[in-house]
Amino acid sequence: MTEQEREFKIKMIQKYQGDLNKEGTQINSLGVLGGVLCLASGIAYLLEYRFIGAAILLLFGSFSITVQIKNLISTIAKKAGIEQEIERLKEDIAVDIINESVMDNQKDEKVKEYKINKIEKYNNEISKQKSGWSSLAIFLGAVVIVLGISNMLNNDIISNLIGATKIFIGAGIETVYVEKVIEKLAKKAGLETEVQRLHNELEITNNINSENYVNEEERGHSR
Amino acid sequence: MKIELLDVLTLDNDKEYVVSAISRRDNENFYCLINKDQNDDLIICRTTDDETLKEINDPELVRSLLPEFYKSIKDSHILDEFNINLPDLEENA
Repeated sequence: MTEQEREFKIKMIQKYQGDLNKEGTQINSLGVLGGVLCLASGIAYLLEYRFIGAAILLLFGSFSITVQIKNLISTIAKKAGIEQEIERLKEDIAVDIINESVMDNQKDEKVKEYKINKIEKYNNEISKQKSGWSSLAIFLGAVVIVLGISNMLNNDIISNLIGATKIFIGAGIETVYVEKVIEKLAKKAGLETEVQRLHNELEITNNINSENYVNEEERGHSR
Repeated sequence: MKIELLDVLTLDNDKEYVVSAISRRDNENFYCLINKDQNDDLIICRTTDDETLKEINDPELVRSLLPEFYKSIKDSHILDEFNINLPDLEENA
C-alpha cells in the first residue's frame, strides 16, 4: 500500500448554496459545476471512453448548442466499435482542414500531398511555428475527434461545432484546467503512461492545426 | 454529518475543496476533492466518520474508484440544469 500518512480534519463543512437562477452566483456555480464536469470527462478519458470524454469536453464549452451536442452523444453511444474508426476520422478531418485552409486551386494538390505523406510525416518545422498549440493538445484532440464524428454523422452541424470550438478556445483557462485535472488524476491512478500516450497521439492533431495555421499565413501573404 | 457532492469542505490546511465525486462502500466513504482556488490540487481520500479524511495514493484503489466516481457525478443530476446527461460508461464501452 502506498497510502500517505497525511490526514485532514474537516474544520467546517459548508453546503453549496449556489442558485443557478440568480445573477451573481451563476459564474461561481458554473465554475464549480465545470470542475465536476471536467472531472467526469477526465475519468471517462482515463477509462478509455475517449469519445464520451471528448464530447463532454466540448459540451462544457458550448452550452448554447447543448441540445445538438446531446443528440450527437446519444447517437455516438448507439454506435458500436466506433473507436476503430479513429484513423479514418483523422484522415477525414485532416482533409477537411486542408480544404478549408487553402485556396481552391491548391486543394487537390494539398489533399493529395497529405494522403501520400500521411499525417505522421508532417514535419516538425511546421509544428514549431505553432508551438503555442501544445498546451491545447488535449482539448484540440478532443475537438477534432468530435468534429470527425459529427462529420461522419451529420455535416449540417459542423458549423455549429466549429463555433463552439472557438468559444472553448477563447476560454483558455478552462482548457488548462481540463488538462491539469486529467493529468493529476492519471498520476494518482498510476496511469501516467496513458497521458504520455495521449500526448503522442495528439501530436498528430497538433501538426494538423499547425499546418492549418501555416496555410492561413500563406494565404494572408498571397492576398 | 454526511458529505454530499458539491459540498465545500474546509480542511485543516485552511483550504476549501469542492466534493467533486463520491464512492460509498460499506462502512467507508471515498471522496474526490478539488481545491476551489487551485485546480490541480486534487485529493482522493477515505473516511469512516466523515470528519477525518485520510489521503490515499494507492493506484490500484484509485483506479477501482474511477467508475464509481463517474457514476456519482452522473447520478447526481447536478447538470440537469443545462440539459446535460452524462453517458453511461457501461453502455458505451
